[in-house]
Amino acid sequence: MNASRTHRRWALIGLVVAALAVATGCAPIRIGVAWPALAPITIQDQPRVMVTYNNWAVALNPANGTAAELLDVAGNVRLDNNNQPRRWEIDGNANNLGAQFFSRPLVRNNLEQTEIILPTHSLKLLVVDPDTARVDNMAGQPVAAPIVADVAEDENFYFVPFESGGIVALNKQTLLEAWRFNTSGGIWSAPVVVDGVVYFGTIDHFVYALNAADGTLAWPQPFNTEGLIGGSPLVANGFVYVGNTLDRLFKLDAATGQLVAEGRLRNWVWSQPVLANGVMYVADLSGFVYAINPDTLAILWETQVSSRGIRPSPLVTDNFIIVASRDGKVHWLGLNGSKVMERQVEGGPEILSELLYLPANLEAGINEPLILVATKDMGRLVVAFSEQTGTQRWSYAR
Amino acid sequence: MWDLIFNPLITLMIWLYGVLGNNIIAGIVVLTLLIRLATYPLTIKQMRSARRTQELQPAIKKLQEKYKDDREKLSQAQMALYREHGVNPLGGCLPLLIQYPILIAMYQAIYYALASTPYQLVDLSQRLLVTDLARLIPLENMWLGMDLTQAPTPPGNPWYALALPALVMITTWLQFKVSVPAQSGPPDPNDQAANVTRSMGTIMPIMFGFLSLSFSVGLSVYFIVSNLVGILQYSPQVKALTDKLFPEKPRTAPRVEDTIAAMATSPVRSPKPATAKASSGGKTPKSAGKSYSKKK
Repeated sequence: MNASRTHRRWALIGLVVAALAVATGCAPIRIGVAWPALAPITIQDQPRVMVTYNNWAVALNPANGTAAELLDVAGNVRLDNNNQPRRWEIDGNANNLGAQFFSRPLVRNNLEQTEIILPTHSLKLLVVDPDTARVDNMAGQPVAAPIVADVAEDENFYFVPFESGGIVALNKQTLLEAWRFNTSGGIWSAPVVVDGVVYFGTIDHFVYALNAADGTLAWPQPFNTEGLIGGSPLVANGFVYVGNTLDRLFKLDAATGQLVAEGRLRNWVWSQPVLANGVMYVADLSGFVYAINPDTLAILWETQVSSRGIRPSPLVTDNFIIVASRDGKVHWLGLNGSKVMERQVEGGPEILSELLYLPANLEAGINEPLILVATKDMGRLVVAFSEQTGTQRWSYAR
Repeated sequence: MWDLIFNPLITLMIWLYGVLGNNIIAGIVVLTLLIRLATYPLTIKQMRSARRTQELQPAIKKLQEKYKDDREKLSQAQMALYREHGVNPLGGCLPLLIQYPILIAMYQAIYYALASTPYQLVDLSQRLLVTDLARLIPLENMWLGMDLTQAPTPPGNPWYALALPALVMITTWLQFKVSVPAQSGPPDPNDQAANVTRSMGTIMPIMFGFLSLSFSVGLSVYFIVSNLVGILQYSPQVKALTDKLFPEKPRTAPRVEDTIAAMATSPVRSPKPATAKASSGGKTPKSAGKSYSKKK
């Protein structure tokens, strides 16, 4: 009896020690696919901001950061069974929908009817009625693989990149596949469509250019950067600019894919470079922001705003370059690279999503330009700051 | 603080992956061997501690008989005996505890190195200590149709991946079996140390089996390779080689037989070190290595 008790006691101690060891060591593990996506969208003639993250797609009222209320045809707020206002929310876990969202929504104007298309990580596109926030077909339009990046579009097609590799062009009206191009590496950043050519980078190091009409190669061969491409290319003035995880920035001829210039930064570039007023701005994962001469890729100035990295692209306004770092801070720089101000999102949640600039819209109740930041913390999923003063205007918790 | 352990290990694993022809399994195997090699002094210590404790078992049994009605005196006498023979009853546990941070670091290294989503991979940017290794990213994480970054359960992996947790359990149990010296006679229910050992022999395989079920397949590969190396370390040939390469320091402790003989007549010896020293005075030094050889 005594021995059995001792045996059990030691067993319990062993299990507790093991559980503690596992809990302390394994807790910091990063479990997750990607980060939230923010997009401006018009629903029922009202400006809204759609945030898509994990199993949620929610349209926010940008004036106050609440989930937008659904209106009926007469303009009255729709009520649920409990007489509460119905909100524009889609729960990917409800009703056996089984959907996860990491990409921006698409708006389709189909036969005088507007629909919202939600790309998912769950092998389907969901078509949603914007007036009721109801999914038309729970099964959705099947696609070949999970989607983790934003979908690009031109007047005819949606260009859908897949996390595990390959891109398809879907007819915008029918959502049927027009062509498919296979790549050996996944596509984790949004393709860019310029002048009938689709440009994108893959995680197995290549930059591709395809003819949007038929999916054939527009360059003699894809360009090998020798490093993972996590950010979208920038296509401007006949050149393609793209960064990679070997701390490099490339300038390619958009017509031929030939290397024109190459620059070296301090860490991985995981975002799309931005061109404004003849200067290219880019940030890296060591927390530096760079102003770069787009002709030579020479660094004009560089400023470190955080010891943690910067994932999203810099947002350039008339007066500021605004970036958000992984330590939950938003930084305002002057156009000469000087630090102007810095704001911390409460709790310091990781910020990886692209920032969103909302211009003032007095009719919609937006009295000043806003900078919207999406975080990994559901308690502060979206936070709005004044673009001019950096004052926090609202915060949305899911 | 963990990053001080994680980051070099992640960098080493990715470097090994590149050196070994972009083969992550080879990388995990070689890294496991390197870790086993680095912790080998601890393993030797653990093996020798277990051996010495085993050698003292006859003396312990005598003490248990002698002080069966006085637990306090029994405890004092046991401590004195351990001290006299230079045995730390917890000496075998410490090396095991040190394995935990290594296990956790290895888990993290596999997890980060095989990052398979944008969210995981973004974090690798500040973990690689050699910038140029980024050209190897993303690592090939498929092996025999299994995704090494996923748990072995469907739908993340095919059903046959469940063989890995089973192998983890089996090899953990085997390693435990070979590492614990065989006991002569039936188990004594009052032998606390033996009870603990038996508990661990049941708990460890089950625990590691469950861990393997919920963690990535890559970690199961690490467990299996690590266990197989552990089993090899206890083979007579490797043991003999170890004793040859790392001879045990001679101890100035009395022979176990003499201790048992002395117990028959003497009262309880105080656990004070001075007394223990005095009682060992004049005895012939004898190394545990020799004693072990004799036993064999």
